[in-house]
Amino acid sequence: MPFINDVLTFKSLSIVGLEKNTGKTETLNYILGRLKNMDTRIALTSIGIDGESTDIVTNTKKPEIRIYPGMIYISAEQHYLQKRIISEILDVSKIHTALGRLVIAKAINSDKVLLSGPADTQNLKALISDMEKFNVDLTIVDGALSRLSLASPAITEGMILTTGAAYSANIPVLVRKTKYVYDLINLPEVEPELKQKLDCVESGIIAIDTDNNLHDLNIKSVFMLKEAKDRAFSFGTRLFVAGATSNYLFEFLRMQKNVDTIELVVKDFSRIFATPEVYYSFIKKGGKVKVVNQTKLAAVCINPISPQGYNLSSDELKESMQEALQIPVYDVKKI
Amino acid sequence: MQLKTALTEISGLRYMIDRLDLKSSLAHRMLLASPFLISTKDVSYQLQQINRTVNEFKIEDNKSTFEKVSIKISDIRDIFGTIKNIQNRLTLNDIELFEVKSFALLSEDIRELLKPIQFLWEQLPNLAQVVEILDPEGARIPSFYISNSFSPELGKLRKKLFGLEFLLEDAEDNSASSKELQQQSDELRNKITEVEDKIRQDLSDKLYRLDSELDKALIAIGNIDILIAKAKQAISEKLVIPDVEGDATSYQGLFYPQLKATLEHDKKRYQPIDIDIYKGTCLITGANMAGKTVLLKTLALSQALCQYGFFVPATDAKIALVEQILFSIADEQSELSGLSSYASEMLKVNRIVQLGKKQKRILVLIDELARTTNPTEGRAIVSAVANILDNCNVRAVITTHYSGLSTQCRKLRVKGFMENSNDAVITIKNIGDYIDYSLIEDDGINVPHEALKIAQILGIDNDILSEAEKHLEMDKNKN
Repeated sequence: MPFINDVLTFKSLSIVGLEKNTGKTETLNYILGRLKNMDTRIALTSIGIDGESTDIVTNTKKPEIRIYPGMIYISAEQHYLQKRIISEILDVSKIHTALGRLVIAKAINSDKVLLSGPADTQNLKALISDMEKFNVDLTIVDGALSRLSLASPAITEGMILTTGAAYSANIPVLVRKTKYVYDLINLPEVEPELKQKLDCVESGIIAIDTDNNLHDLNIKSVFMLKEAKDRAFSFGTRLFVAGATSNYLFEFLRMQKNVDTIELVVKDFSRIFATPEVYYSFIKKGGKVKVVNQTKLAAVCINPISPQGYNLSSDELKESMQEALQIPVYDVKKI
Repeated sequence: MQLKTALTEISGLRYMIDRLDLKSSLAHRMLLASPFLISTKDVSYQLQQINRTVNEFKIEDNKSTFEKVSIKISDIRDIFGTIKNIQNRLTLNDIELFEVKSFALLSEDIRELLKPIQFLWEQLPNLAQVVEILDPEGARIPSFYISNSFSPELGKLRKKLFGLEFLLEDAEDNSASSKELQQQSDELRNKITEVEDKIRQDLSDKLYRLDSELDKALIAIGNIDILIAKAKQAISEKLVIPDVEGDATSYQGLFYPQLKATLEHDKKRYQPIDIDIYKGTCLITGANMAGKTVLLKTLALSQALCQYGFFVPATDAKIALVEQILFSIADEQSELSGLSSYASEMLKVNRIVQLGKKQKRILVLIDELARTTNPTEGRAIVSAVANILDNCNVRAVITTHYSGLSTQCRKLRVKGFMENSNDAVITIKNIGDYIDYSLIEDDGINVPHEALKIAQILGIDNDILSEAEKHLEMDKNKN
């Protein structure tokens, strides 16, 4: 049973697809099918509405999510009242969505359901921690279209990445694009002492000196860095950026003379919004990137079929992907 | 007028409401809809309820009870809409049935907890019957679904369906047997839905007979939440229960909570005021910065708090209830109406006088009447309004800077600068330390002339001050 044991070590897990139709739902169904007979209490939610029987973007048939007796699932009020499954309402959340409040229910029998969830990460985080009330061991979040931010370790402990022909129908391109996300996910963590200090910094640009002391540079955004260049490196060459980091920042850092000594620290991988080209050219010149919180990747899953009709060779894709990432990769339709 | 509206009109009221530690949105909704009470019986009842709660808080054993009750109340949902649906004989859906069940369970828990506090316990009706209807298994867990224990038939049908589904999973797609199974399953599902709907209808009918109990419980819990919050505020802000039985308005140690808190935070002195307000008009004079406007605001706030059923900010208070509080306080803007400040003030005063003439019981508070026109006519207007209101059934407090008013009404003066203040270095920061804000009876012939002294303390350009001194001298010589 591949990667199920890894999944069980987390309290919360997100399943994120690099594109729609990369096999998120199949992966979820696989995991649920494996967990149904285990002594683990599962809760399921999503970011935004999910679980439609057809994909509204591409109009292709999408597998529904099948859940099993005892599993807890979150559904919007309107969907809940149209459900087929027999389930017991445990709570009605105060969080409102376009389709009403969120209903937290426990499945009595096994059937297909429509998952819903809060539309913003703040409420999602609160909902996940609320699950403790119902003795939930593992909360699984079904991610929406390319929402990497929910895989942030600030929200879920672990993640599963799904990728496939829908993301790119050209195997080398697909592997390269996936490898980039994989590289970001695997960025090393800063040392524990620094991690503790940076965990409570929520905004701004901070210089870190060689003794791990923090100095707020009072620079409001990365776009002001140019003007404050002399100050930026007055405490050394380590910078922490609490917010999003874009191409602009990476290009600015790359162009510094001492680029090979620069170390950029970000909260977690989901804060990096640079394109692969810009990111790698910074790395190539010797720049380093670290994260405060590393995401634990449980698995990479592939779907060789795309809704446009491309049908890649599962084995070929799997092999190239494994070679690039150096970890096992699974075709969800075959496991 | 509902409290919601008063919040926007009476300054300082929002501060008090915002600081109430309400646990439920239910209580919040109810509180904002509270009416302005004008009968002695209603006000007394509200105040006595708070008083009893305050007294219960003084008993050590009750503290943890209140804490536990508050935690339970914070889980209460405002099921007002669902109760309405029951009363309108609609069939409730599963989510509504869940709401009713979890509400009834919580209400029963709160009732149990409140046993040692008899007078609160009495307000909550027994909802055991509601629980019984929605919890046939007696599990007393706040969760809900149409379980098999509501009907033996349902259990049988569901069992059959599960069997069919099991077969369906194994059957090949689109085969004849699969199609037949699918059809059977669909029929069975329809039958199950019918039975479930029947159960929902039965449950809704049974709840209809208990709708008034549910309604009573919802209101009682909201009230208990409000009472606990008001009592806690009364204790922490040192508020007092006003005596509303008599026909007197008299405060000892009256204060404006927001200002007091700000000054105390800055480690500055705050001086509470003693004041009696009789029927008729009372004119108040005093230097600038002597707290006249704050006094009027405090009187309005205190009267409003009392008649919305709160304790008041004073050490001792007697309050004669009024039908309305009417005020004209300087810092209101009227640009939008296109009227000059004089015109809008006059219209407001006109309304006050008209209501006064109808012998309405009103508290009237006017800040610096007719200040925006020439002093000769202004003085005449003040005298006129003061005289008319003096003969009405109102309690009117009017502040003014005019001297030599030809009215026989009562006059009070803010003492103003302390005697030792001449030797001290007074600045804008410490000026409050050198002003005695207390009120004394006065003949009103001479009003304080301290405007220039205060302007100097404020650091106004010396040219203005010396030029003004010159003009004062010239006026004196003319006389």
